[in-house]
Amino acid sequence: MNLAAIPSYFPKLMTAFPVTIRITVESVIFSLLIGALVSVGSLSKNKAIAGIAKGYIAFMRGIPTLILIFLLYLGLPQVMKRIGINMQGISTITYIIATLSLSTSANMAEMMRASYLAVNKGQLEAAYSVGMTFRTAFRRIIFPQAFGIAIPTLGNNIIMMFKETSLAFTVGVIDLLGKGRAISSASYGSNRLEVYIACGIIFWLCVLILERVTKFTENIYTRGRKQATAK
Amino acid sequence: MAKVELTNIHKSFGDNHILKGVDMSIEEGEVVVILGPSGSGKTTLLRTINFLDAADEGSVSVSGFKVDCKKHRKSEIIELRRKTAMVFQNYNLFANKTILENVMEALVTVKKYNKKDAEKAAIEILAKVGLGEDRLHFYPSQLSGGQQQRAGIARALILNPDVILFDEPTSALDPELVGEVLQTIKAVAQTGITMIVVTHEIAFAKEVASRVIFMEGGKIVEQGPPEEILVHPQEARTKEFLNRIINTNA
Ligand SMILES: Nc1ncnc2c1ncn2[C@@H]1O[C@H](COP(=O)(O)OP(=O)(O)OP(=O)(O)O)[C@@H](O)[C@H]1O
Ligand SMILES: [Mg+2]
Repeated sequence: MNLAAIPSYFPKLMTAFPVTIRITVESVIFSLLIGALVSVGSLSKNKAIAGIAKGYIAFMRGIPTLILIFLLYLGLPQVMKRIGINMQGISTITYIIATLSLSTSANMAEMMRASYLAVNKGQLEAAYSVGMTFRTAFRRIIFPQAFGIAIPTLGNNIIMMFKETSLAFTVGVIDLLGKGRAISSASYGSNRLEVYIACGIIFWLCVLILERVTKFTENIYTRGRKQATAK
Repeated sequence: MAKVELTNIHKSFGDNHILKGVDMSIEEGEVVVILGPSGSGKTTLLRTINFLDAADEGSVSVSGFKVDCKKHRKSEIIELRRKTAMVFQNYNLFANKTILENVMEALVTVKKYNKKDAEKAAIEILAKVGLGEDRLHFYPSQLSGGQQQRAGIARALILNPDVILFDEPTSALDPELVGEVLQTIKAVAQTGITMIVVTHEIAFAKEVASRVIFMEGGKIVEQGPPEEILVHPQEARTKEFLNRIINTNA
């Protein structure tokens, strides 16, 4: 093994970094949107809706991400073909973003539900007592507090998803890891270990930064005030 | 016309019948103190007035705006709540807002004041409850219980409600802070605003109440001027209750 060669792979690897970032950012956005929808469902008084939402969460949390990738990438086009829809034009990166959005949306939904429930019930009652509608109370009182509670979990969910973007190469996306594979096969795998170590270092540094950003955001956001959480 | 009118209020939680037909008619400017043992339904009764808990039966009317508890619309509840305000046992100040923001909040979001005017009004009210400029930008968690509750009173007052509901406003406070909050409530009472106060502070009731209501088992047992109810109660249950809290307070 040639440890000294590791840094020399960084520039080439980094050319694929925007792809990894794009997957992460888009998946975070979609997982938050889907998660919001599912969390509202899971909090619904309607038992059927709550049941569907909870079933969705259980399914998405239980299934390994790699299997979900294959289900979508290999299975979905076949199913769609049966009903006459051709999915050949869809890029592989779209499948990855869809997969990560779906699988992470379950964690996001759980995060939102738990954070909402952690805000003391008295906060909503106080908002009602001064004549606010639920919408106003949610926007002005409940959401800001729930958000503060959710920050650490949100950071964690993003970090976990960021690491899972490394599965993208399995369907041929040239992300960080895909690039790493390309580099090593160009030299017939002789430098495979060094290239993957270089990839690992990049992931590790990014996670370190994300952790810092999470902590920083939390400190800024909750500065001066303690959160009023239930019980 | 009565300021607050409750007719035949019934409320159950599951199989637990908590309020068993409460009628109450309160005139403008009255300070009504509600007494009663734990579990008698005092808190529940206050909460049915602003529909934090909707009663199963009966009607609530504030300043002539009457809502049928059985079939109420959301918009009616909002309107009713805008005629009332509540001071909570554990303050329930908005944890994400400073004291000043807590008091301004409903003026801005509910009454649509511009920020400047709301701020001016809030600072004025806060001064009245003894919270000066130096405390305006503190968050609730940075204040003593007494200060928090006085801010809670300011938050209720600023809406200029037709009636303020107090649910044991001093019972979560350290003993040495009870006095300052009772003083504040007394000063509010003297402005002539209609108030319903659930409390165990008998001395306060004697001094400030225009009427005392004794509740037990989800019903009003007896009511009248404080000197009658507190000094010469007619009902054995009232006597027994008063003996008990006077003995434990002493
Ligand atoms: N949300 C609820 N769900 C179920 N039961 C409830 C609920 N709120 C109140 N109760 C029950 O209703 C009864 C009356 O409660 P309430 O809080 O009105 O009594 P209270 O007179 O205010 O007593 P305290 O002096 O202890 O505050 C109690 O037995 C209580 O357990
Ligand atoms: Mg009570």
